[in-house]
Amino acid sequence: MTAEVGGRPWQNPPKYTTVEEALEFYIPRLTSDEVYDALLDSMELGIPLTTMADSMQSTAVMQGLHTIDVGILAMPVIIEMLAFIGDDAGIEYTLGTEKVIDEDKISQSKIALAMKKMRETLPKALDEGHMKEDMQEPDMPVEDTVEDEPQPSGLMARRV
Amino acid sequence: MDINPAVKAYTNLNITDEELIEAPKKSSMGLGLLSRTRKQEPKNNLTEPRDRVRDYVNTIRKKRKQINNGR
Repeated sequence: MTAEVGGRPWQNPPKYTTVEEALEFYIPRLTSDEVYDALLDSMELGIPLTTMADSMQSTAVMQGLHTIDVGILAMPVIIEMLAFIGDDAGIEYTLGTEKVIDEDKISQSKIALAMKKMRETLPKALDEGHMKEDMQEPDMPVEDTVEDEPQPSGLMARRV
Repeated sequence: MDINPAVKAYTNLNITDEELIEAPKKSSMGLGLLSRTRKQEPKNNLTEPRDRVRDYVNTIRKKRKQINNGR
């Protein structure tokens, strides 16, 4: 599970130390035949360009190609380049920067708060409920009411 | 919750549409031998990486606009 210090690629000096060097690595790759089709497929599937750029730079950081700082700096250029490729190919893509406000969506914190309040109030309510039930007389058994079934009215029908 | 750093990195560049419009070049007056010495335009010395990135994004976006306007 653990490794020696320097045993991982990201623990060693990066291959590309500046933004320009990193971009010289990325941009030819983005336009290469191997990656190009996969990129267009991902765009058509609706994967946001920001997500694609983020995963690209994270992978490169893990491979020890550049540092996180350089990756963060290079990301806007990668996103813009992806958008350029999408526009050039005539594909409708999502950048991922659009703010979607879903009014029906309740935030996790609000749900947690409501649950906490419920947990606090529920035992009290249950106790009060039991007390009231004990005070009340037992209910009389309810007779089953049988609805009048329609009588068969045919000539051959049995008469009751 | 927005956890993607790419979104922040991209939106924090704050590139406006005005920046994408190319300013018309000034006339080539003052090139003659008898003309007054022309003041040199200040060069863009983009030393900060963030500024350089902004410049790169601007360049690509201009090209992207050209593609979209051409359609």
